Amino acid sequence: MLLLLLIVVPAGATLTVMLSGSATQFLLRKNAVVTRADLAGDVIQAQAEINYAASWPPALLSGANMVLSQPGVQTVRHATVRNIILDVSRAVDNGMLSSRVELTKFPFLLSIPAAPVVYNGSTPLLGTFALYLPPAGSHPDFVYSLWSAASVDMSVNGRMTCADSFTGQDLCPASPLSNTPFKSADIKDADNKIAIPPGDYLFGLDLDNADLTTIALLSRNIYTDCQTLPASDVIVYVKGDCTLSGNKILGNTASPVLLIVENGHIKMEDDAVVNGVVVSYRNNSGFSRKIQISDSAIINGSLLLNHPATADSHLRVAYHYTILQNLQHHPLLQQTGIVPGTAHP
Amino acid sequence: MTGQLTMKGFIQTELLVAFILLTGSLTACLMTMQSSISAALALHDANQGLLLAQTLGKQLSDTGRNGTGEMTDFFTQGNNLSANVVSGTHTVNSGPVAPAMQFTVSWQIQPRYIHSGNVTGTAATADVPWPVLKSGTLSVNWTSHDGIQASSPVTVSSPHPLISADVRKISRLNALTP
Repeated sequence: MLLLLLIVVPAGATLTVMLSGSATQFLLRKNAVVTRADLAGDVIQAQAEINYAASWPPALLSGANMVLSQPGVQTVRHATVRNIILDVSRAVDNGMLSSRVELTKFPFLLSIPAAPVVYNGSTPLLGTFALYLPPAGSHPDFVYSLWSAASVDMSVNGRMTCADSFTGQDLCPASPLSNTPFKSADIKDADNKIAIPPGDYLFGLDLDNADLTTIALLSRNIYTDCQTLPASDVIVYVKGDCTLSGNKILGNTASPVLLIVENGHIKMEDDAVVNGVVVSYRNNSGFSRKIQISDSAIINGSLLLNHPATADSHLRVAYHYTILQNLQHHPLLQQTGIVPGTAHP
Repeated sequence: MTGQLTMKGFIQTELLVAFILLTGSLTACLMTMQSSISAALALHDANQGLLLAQTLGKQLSDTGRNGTGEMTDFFTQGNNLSANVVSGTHTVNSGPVAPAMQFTVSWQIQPRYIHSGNVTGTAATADVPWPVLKSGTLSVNWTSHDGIQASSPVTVSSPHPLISADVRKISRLNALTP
């Protein structure tokens, strides 16, 4: 009997102690898991606040447990890249959990278009064009009017490029660059480097396995025409034909617009102006689309297209580097990521 | 010679008492063991539930972390709706020792916006026209082997792809030129 009691009592006590210890360990682990998830949420919230901060270094973040340090700014090929270290901490039962990450903020628009017209297609561009490279809006590194993956036939009447400002007519008496039938060095054609989708060139979407249609999710609405576009939105995505009526102005120098027209004709009536980047995007091997810009209308910035347009198209674009750079620096067009290897949980 | 025969050993009453004590002790021992096993199984269930909550919470939070390719997933993610995680019953089979367990997974998740530089919940006057993140709680609920209802909630936070960018893209900045 005594022997039995000697066995039962210690066994029960041992089991009780073991279970009690396991339960305590479980509770500690559970609290750590919950706190770790909360910390991850804090980091994401901080990333959002840093990404859209109006100034640099960013103001204090909304959580008292978050600290920013070592803000830095560097320039990479005229683009601004900002770095910062973020420390986040939270209390748990047996101490503190903390997380440190190094964040970098850089433009979503990776490439400032290098020319008034950038053509990604492989078949020769159709239609006519008047492209302007005004000295005040020139690119700091090079001078190109047209950058094309296909060869450009300058024997077509109605094609000209000009190192001057747009004056309301397709004339360039003082400083013509290329004109039917002469092709100068300002036209960079048959260049395989640009034979890539416009989304890959502008945003590096190939690294995300995405295409330009994903940008539609950043537009306030997916518009089906251009009758009622907001004047101040930075991203405007249109599925279908886009006619900008006379005197309609989209974007301005300080706050340009990125207008993407998917599978639709683009028409700009008299005195219509777009300040920014226009992308005429043919999706899923759709038809080539018209791009008709009237005599007094103009795109100040750049036009990208991935189809040859139509024979009755007329492109009229004045390059404006400041506008394009302002688009790249636009506060809503920034992205933030964690530098790999810098996360210390 | 008259001698008195002395009986050695236990009398019947002693045997009965001993037997009752033995039975009681064994019963107590078995009950303790049963209770311990039940508690151990409940703890095992709780561990499984926590692990499931941790795993699914991370999967749900990872929506949008792979750049703009997950933009659609991020925007469609909502209450009990995600491309990454299935809500409802999840059966976990943890091997021969413990029987398979069923856990019910559900989550409530809301879009969050930027107002005056801070993340808040309403879209009406947002500085940015799109939600910058989505956050909420994922709960794993189960009935443990001892019949007790239990749950393990964790916070989930999914970043918009623009705040979870692939920093390799920096190498592309104005890099492709004529």
